[in-house]
Amino acid sequence: MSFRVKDEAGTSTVFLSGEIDLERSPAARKTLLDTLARKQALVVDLRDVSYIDSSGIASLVEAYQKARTSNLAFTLAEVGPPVMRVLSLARLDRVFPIRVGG
Amino acid sequence: MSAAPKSRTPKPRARRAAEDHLDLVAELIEAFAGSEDLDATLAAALVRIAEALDADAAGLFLLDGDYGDPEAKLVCRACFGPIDVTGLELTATIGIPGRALQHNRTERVADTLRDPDFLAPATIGIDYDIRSMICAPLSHRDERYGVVEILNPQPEGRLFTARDAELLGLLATAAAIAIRNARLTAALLAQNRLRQELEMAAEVQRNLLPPTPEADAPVQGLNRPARGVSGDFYDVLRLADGRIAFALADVSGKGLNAALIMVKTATLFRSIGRRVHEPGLLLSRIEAELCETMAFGMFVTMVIGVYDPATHRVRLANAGHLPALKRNADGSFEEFPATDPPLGIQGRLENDRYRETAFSIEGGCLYLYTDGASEARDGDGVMIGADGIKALIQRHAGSPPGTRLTAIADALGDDVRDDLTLLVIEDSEAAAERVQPRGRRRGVADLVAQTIPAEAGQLKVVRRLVEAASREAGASVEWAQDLVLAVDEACQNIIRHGYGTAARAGAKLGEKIEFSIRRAPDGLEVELVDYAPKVAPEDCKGRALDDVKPGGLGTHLMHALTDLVQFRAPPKGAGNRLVLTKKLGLGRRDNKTDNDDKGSSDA
Repeated sequence: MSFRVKDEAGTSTVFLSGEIDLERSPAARKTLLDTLARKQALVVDLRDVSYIDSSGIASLVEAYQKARTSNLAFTLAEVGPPVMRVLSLARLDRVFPIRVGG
Repeated sequence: MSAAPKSRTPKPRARRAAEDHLDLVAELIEAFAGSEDLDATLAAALVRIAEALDADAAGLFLLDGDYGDPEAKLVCRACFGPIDVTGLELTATIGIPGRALQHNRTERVADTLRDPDFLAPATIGIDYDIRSMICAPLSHRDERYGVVEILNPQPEGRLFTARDAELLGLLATAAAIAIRNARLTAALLAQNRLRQELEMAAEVQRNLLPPTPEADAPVQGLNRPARGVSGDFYDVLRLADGRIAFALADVSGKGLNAALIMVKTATLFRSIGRRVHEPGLLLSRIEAELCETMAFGMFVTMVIGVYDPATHRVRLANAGHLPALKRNADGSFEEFPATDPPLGIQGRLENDRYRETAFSIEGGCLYLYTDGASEARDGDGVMIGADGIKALIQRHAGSPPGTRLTAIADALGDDVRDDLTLLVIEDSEAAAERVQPRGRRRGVADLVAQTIPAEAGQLKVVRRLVEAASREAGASVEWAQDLVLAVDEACQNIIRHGYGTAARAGAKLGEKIEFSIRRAPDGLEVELVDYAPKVAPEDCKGRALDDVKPGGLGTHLMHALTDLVQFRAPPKGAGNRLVLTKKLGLGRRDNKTDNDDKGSSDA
């Protein structure tokens, strides 16, 4: 199961969806890293993510670090309450550039 | 039948005497056999004998003391004739009656003037001058009960014949057998009465013991008296706040004295224990009461404890008793010996409390026993001691507590020389483990109990179960989400770090997680049992939060999202047992976040 990716001029958007847990975060990680290989700004749209755990967060962190070393913009978009909750518990809500959904 | 020809009356002559007075012999033997009041029967028989033998007077004397003892007396229990000598005491070794008794044979004195042993009644102040007399022993084989005598007065009384002597000897023998039977019956009656009284006392004692609960009830006791009554006791009181007070005691000595002290101690525990719930103080109060009436040299060893099922903790005070035995979940034992002397010796002040120890029995059992158990002997006659008891406990650990105690008591054998009393308190955790080990258990409080393969694909199953259980417990959506994430993270740790590390090292483990959810006081408790190598507790601390790197975050989330993360003693054969507890307090979630804000630096 893969995630939808939308490419626009200068920006790629990855739409993560469903439950990003230990089973599915490897796929999420691969999608994020593969998309970054296009050397475009990356937006991770989280509106359809109903659940994320530490392994999913780890995938986001890894992609963010990779984007920074590549000087690519990295933004979390449409962050809903379940994801926001975990980000704040992990003290990452002020690390990631976040575009709050709504 | 051995022929032992003694100086007894030869049979043919006795038979002739009997034939002469056949009616009388038959009548008296019948009267003796059917007698319910022996004294009255003997008195009536004496009159019939005196009449039949044409005697002026007759007396029946019973022996008081040992016949060879110069102090022994022959006491007149019945008499016939002109003077009433009932109650008269003769020295049992002198005179004609003394001779009959000592020689165990019938003595006839045809003419008293010619017998040097004869002592005239006048010498003991009785105004009766004897011319002729016969004195026959009341004896059965060598057992002597007294004598019977017939008398004729001076100067014209008939001289008794040898035939008269034979008849009296015969009747005396019948009377002696009647006396013997009566005494045996009386002894038997007394014995029966004593046994009945002991049975009643034992019944009273049994009623002081708590009723036997179901075999799987967590607190069980067993009492097997060595005799009818017991010097041991145990009791269990359920307190209003859910705690359970228990006691076990052993009174020094055996028999009725010990039983009475036991009844008093039991009554004191039950009455004072209703108000005083601190074991050390309770012991002092009982001691103060006991000392008032305790017989010199008696004492009571006693253990009192209070068990709280909610916290799994026990408070215990031990006054001179054998050590309490705690069996842990892993099968190891701990002993809690006496810290103070027994009750009834010192007479302490009322508020001078006995020392207490407090400890957890989580996942384990606490055993109390009396020396009837530890001093039981094995096949070689060696006392089994505490080690023997531990071995028995170990052997029957899988049975429900009630069945277990019975099995242990049975194994101690019928040859119990002392009262045997056992008490067990089984922690609810141990009960659940015993009922359904390996995580498949489903106790009353379990909302979920299931074994899952340790695979990433199973986590969504776990999450659904936690969510459903949270809803069932009345939690909010947010509360449920927090617990779901915490449990998910705990499972991930097991899969990735527990089994994962071992698998990379080449170990093949049964990769499964035994997963259960149950209600805890004010919340839920989620338990995860795995078979991976043991985790060192320091590896499970949360990471420093400014350390922004993947990994370690899971453990932090577990701590942040629950109230308690605890590694407990795993079931036998398992690697780890992790228990997450989350309380259902209002505003818990916000508080938790606030707490997390404190002391952590912004990145």
